[in-house]
Amino acid sequence: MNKEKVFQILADICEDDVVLEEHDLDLFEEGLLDSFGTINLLVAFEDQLDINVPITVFNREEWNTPNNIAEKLAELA
Amino acid sequence: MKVLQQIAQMAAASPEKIAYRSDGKSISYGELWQQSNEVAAAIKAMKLPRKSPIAIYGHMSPLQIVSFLGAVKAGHPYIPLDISIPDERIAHIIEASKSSFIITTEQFEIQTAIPSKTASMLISEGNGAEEEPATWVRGDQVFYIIYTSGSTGKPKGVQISESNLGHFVDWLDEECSLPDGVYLNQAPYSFDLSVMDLYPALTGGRELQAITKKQIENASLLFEELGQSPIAVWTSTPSFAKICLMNPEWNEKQLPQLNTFLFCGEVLPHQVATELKVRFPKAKVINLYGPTETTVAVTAVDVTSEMLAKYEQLPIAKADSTALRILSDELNPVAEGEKGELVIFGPTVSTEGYMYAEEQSAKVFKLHNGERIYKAGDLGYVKDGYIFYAGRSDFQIKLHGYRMEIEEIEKQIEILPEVRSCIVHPVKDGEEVVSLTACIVLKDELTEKPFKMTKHLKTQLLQLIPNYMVPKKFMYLDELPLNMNGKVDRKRLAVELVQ
Repeated sequence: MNKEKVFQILADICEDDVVLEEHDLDLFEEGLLDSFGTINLLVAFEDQLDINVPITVFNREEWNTPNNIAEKLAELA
Repeated sequence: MKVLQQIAQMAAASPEKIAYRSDGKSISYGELWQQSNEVAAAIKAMKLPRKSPIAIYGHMSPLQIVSFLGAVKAGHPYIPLDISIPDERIAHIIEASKSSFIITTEQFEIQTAIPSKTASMLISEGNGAEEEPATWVRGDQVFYIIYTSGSTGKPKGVQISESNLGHFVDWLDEECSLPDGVYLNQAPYSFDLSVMDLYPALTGGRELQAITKKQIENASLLFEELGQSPIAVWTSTPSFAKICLMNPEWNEKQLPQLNTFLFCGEVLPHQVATELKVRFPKAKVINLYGPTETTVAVTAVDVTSEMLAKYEQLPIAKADSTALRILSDELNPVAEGEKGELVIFGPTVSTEGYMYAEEQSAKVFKLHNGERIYKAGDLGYVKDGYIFYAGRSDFQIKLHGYRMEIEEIEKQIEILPEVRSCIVHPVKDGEEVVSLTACIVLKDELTEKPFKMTKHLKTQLLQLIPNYMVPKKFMYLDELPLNMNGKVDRKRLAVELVQ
């Protein structure tokens, strides 16, 4: 699992390079991600990483920061 | 139809039937009717100024519906205020509307000049009150007021009368052949899409299933809730359906009773309608159109497979609609294929217009051949016997179903002490607005990392406007590009942003 690749996907979806620098930022609290952004994120994970994350597994408590998201993806990969 | 009389009949005929359910709580028609009588009695005992609005603060719960009906039974219009609205905006709405009282169904800590009580307190004060139809809101009297984004920088209150609402409910029921069963309530009550499920359900003795903000934010909770309810009529924004479509198990098997989708609030993307037809082959997918000012929706098109094969963009109305016409600036009909403004006619056009905003009302509510009309500001054209949407004539946009004025967001950002000027740019994917970018010129040079300033500005902004209006991306520029007239060149800025 290439963490940098995950961060780049997040930066593209959140449209903010802060994600590349601040890996413990809560993306929902910062207003960088919402329910609609989540859809694009899950599609990007499938397309670019070939990892299918069911929407019912994705929750805001555990999938909230770039580091946490990268860890959760590593578990699913 | 008389809205309250109709609900009364349902309560009398089937008092035990469930009227509303949300997050484990439910209320029967009998309880809803009796508790709203008690709320009405307690309100009347307070001798509030006649017809003054009552603000109702909270989120999905049986007590919200009890409070709405209690207010109108006592002769007062209500203003629904969802918990997602920032405190300052709520305080402004309460003051600007001259509300006389606040009913709360969630914890309320906003400082206001008027009294407030919980719905439960009012029910206990009502003490088994009998109904008194003489005081009910009726006819041209205002039933509810919903605040929408305003280009002046402040939200404006759209006043909908009992007669407007009654005509809307009758029209929807007939036009869409609404079935009995469970109706989904997804939109919060401060968003008028909620009216499309609330009153058609309650006046028809049907059951409402409301889903909460928390459930929408957590997909596993959402689908657990949806899976437990035999929903027959699904009312939501297309954006919400898009979220649900991400779950491959969201299909006919999970919701076998579902036979009607009602979509309104934004453009229904072709792809969403196509996918729904595959997942729910027996269900009708209906695309509705209408602004808050004309009571939720005025036209409906049943999206067929033939339509999906023929058009990339779905129509919003049949060209022979009596409620919706395409007119020129001088209010003359335009030729087929030619673009014009969408103008709305008929009994659902708000009789009172915007609250305490005569100038704003006069710009869009007009008399045309003796008939009251509403100039929607939307553009459209006719083709093959259908009306198609063709964008806006101003800076209003729809983002995930929420209507907002770009100028209001800009004005609120410019209020912030660090900001000299600001332009908000809608980022589009085809015709659909997918996010907002704020281009900001600061008063002082940026000395910290941009995201720290962004965080600081967003925190302040969330006190002023709902989070769906806060731009996703903030960009800091030395200056905004100007055109030859010295105005900000939005087109150039848009091109630069894409580059």
